[in-house]
Amino acid sequence: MKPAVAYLPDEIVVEESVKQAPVTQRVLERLSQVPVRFLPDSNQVRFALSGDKQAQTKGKKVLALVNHKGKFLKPRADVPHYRCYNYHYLYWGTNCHLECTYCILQAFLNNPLITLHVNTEDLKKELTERFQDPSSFWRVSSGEVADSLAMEPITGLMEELIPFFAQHDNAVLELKTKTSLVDSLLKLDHRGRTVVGWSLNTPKIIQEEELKTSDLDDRLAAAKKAQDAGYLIGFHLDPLVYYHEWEQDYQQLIQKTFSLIDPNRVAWVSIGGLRFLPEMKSIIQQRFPKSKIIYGEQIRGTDGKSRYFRPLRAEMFKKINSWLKEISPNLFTYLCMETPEVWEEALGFVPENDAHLSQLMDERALSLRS
Amino acid sequence: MKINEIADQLKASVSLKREFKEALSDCMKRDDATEESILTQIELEALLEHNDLSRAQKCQELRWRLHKLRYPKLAEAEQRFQQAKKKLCLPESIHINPSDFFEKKEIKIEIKSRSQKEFKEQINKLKTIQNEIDDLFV
Repeated sequence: MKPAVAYLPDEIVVEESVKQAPVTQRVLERLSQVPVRFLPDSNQVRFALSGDKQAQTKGKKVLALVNHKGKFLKPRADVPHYRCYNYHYLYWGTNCHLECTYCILQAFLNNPLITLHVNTEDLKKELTERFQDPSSFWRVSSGEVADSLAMEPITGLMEELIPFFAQHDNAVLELKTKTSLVDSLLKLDHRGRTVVGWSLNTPKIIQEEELKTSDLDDRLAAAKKAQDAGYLIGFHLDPLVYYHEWEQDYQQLIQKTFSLIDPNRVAWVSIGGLRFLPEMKSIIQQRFPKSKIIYGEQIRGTDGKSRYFRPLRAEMFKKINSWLKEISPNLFTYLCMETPEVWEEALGFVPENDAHLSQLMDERALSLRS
Repeated sequence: MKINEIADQLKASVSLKREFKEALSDCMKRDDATEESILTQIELEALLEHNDLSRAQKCQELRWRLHKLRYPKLAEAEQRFQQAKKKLCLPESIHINPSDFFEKKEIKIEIKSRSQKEFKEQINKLKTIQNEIDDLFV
């Protein structure tokens, strides 16, 4: 078993306004060996890297603890013609040190620093206000612009948020990770309000494309621990990568997963193919010249993203879904960012719209709550 | 790169030259192959020596061969679609096209009519092929 590479920055930059924040104090204590700089505004460090061809790599060596002044809860962007469930993502921090070759954040973020929004009292205040209406249900993802748990040993942030979500009946927090860093979460009183999700891939893809993440065995061992602690589990077979032995490898991955995990306590399994912004191609070529992930049969989708040629991905999704349903017909599977055509071809049904899929997912989460 | 010289020799446009280079470079990286071996694979030499093809035709054929090597399944679908369309023997005034890269499972039929008579003939033609278009839906 190989755990994820622990994050150790070369420098911590702290905005003076959040010097006393509890998360800041925790981070500085846990990374006491790392030099610290206090600044009125961390942007000057970020701007110093602008134009630098190595900004992505250098930026990950700097941990910025900042005072976030905007909204913490942001709606998922709507993508015409591609269906996905509605959710909000939690803007608790941005960027990640795990170095997945295909990571969209490389093209999406304009700030290369690993950034934590440490004014968590403001975050909780905003969530409390938003969750006040009991008639609305909130699906909140914490793994949209950062890995939910990669920084957990340093920040203890999810350890703080899980009990917070446990107090709210109309919300569910989903963590998404490629690490095994769950130990600090196991004794928390989560009340079934948190789904711990793992992005899974074959050992070949993990080794070649997800460079600093936990290996498959380590992720599955962590998922087992979380499930034993009563958490609902989610899996994301995403991004699926098409290569010569993909069928054998993904089938083995599914079998291995459910030899350890009880499918009846799995909230959902998402299935999605590799997709990336066109500008990612040159970024991957420059940062990860050994990666071959961009040389598959990817075409330009109607949303402008490169994705596998439709019949190819429909075939993959159909097979993956059938292997999952062989494990348990009751497993809730869904496609991530897919067209109605592919839903129909692969899963045999099409949600009426994003809201319909969201409703199905809410029902699933609620039915499994303890 | 040899492909640059060939593109110049064929008087390929700048964008076509870029397309050749990208497809070739992608195939080389994907297959851990040399430029020489990719160009041999697409039988470039025979193409260049072909006496019956104009420079422009050689350019288009080179483009297709590289495309086929870079995107084999997509190229196969494109070929299948074109063959199925050819079988329908459509008049020049009726165009049938797939969505870009077959991303949507739909076809677009365009009719250009200059009179009611012509329109009726086109509709009748479409009626005669209505049970033969299944192969167009990739």
